[in-house]
Amino acid sequence: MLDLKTILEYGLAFVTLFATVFFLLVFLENKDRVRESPKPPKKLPSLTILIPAFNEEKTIAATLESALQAQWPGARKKIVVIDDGSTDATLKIARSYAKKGVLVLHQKNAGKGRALNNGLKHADTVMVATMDSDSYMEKDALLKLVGYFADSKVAAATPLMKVWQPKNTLEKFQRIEYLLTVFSRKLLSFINGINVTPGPLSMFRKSVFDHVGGYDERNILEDQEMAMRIQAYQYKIASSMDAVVYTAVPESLSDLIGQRVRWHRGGIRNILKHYYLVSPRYGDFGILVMPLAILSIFSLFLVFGLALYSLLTGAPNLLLSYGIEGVWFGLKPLHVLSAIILASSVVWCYVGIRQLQGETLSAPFLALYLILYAPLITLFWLVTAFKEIKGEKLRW
Amino acid sequence: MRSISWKTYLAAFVISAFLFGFGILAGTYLTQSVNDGLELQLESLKGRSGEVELLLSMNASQALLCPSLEAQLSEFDRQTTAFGAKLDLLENTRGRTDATVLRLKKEYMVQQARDFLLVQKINGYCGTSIPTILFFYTNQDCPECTRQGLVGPVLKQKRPDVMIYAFDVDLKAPIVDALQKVNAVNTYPSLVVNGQTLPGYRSADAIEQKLEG
Repeated sequence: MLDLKTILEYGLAFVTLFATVFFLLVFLENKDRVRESPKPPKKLPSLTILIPAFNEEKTIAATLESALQAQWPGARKKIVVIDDGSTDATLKIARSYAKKGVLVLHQKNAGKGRALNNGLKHADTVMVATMDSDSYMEKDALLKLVGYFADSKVAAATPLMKVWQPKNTLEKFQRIEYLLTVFSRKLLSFINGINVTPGPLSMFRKSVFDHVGGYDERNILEDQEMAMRIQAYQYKIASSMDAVVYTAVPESLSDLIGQRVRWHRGGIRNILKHYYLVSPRYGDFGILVMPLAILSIFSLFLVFGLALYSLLTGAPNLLLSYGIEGVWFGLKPLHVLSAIILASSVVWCYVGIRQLQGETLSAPFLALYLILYAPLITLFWLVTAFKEIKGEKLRW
Repeated sequence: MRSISWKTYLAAFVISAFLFGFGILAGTYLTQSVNDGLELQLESLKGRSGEVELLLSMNASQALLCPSLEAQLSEFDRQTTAFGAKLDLLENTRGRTDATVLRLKKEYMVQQARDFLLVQKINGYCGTSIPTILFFYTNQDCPECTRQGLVGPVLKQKRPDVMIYAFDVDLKAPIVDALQKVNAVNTYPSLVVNGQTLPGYRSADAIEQKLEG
């Protein structure tokens, strides 16, 4: 007779295996399209680049330089900075670019959503790109995104996000994470399952905002909420594997925890707001992507709970307590399944990294990433749960 | 309504089910091979004690038989102790209530009882005084039993000539019940050192003194 713990463990193992195999099959079905790079139209449409900024005096200049140098006919490119009540020199630096044609708006501090909506009022162009004020796009990034809009159902296109000059180990781990995320996003695009239009750079059809509405100004994860709303309106979101934008990442563990907890708390609220998307009406997004997102949250706490239960009931760590013979003696089918899942995850990571041209990764560092960084995700969620239970105020 | 990748889901389900099934089978096979290995070792121990019993039943002279018996016993004890350690490891890794652990433990205890009785016979036949310790314990709320269990390996290192036989009374083996009755054991832990019953915990030094006394 199977107990509840065993049923949960094996059930979770099967779902994890299924998800990994499913996405590997999606890759195999679409492997000729992974590196696609649709050509931009001969006549490029008009474009507004919106750059909301709050206290980014160290990076805003470089962001503006990259926007100015981005390949796009000057007459059809507009750059708008929306200063969200910065208390440092961000506004001053932005205003120094007015002579280069940058429109600088200023508002009392009201959040990124409000800043973007403020910017949208000045976007009288066919296309809109949003960009974070600590991001730097490659010159051809916009050209590599616009080609996806040849499909009239495409509402947004997302870039290949890379970490800007990773120095310490934590930043290098995030580099791998970002690269694997782009691969996942590309696979998700094949099933129209993308659930975020990233802040560092995303391109939209302006008319989509007229149809679905502007950004949710009370939302701390407005880029994900916008993507979910786009899905709700049955649009497509495309993903580019060669439109490159660099972004700064947290250098310290505490900053990283702060960032991820914000993402998770915002994510929970977005799932609750758009719970109706869990429906066959929204295709694979509704029957796979959304349910997996919800299940992954529960399963993370479940795995943590099971591990804690084993610890509290004195279950030994076989390898540490008894060596290799102990592992051999204590071997269960679940261990073999875990090894299969780990092997398929390594294959998935390897396949993903190989699709990213110009990116290399040593196998030992990847193994280190899987062993050391992946468990951090549990820590992020534990802190998230703690702050939710405490009812701590949400902060951007 | 948007399209759904039914074919891909079906293919993924079939492949996952296959991999899942393979994992379960492989894990079960590996677990069973550990069990089979231990069964074989236990059968080998039974075979060896059978040989010793056969030797004792021969009408050969003591001078001829006893050196052979003592040599056999020494090797036999080494193998039995090694098997006991593996059984402990199995119990620690799979848990006390695992069906295979319970079955092997019971068979091992019966084997130990057989060995103990053989040693008594050899002592009687050859006039030797091979020291023996019977250790009776329970896993039900007995921290002293756990303490006593740690003494055995320490004592065995100091006194490799001592034959130590441990009996888990919770397994309710008839031979173990009989040994308890014969030695008037009714509390746990209890030791029977060379036929003398000692209830309660005893340190390695205290047991050594009894062995020498």
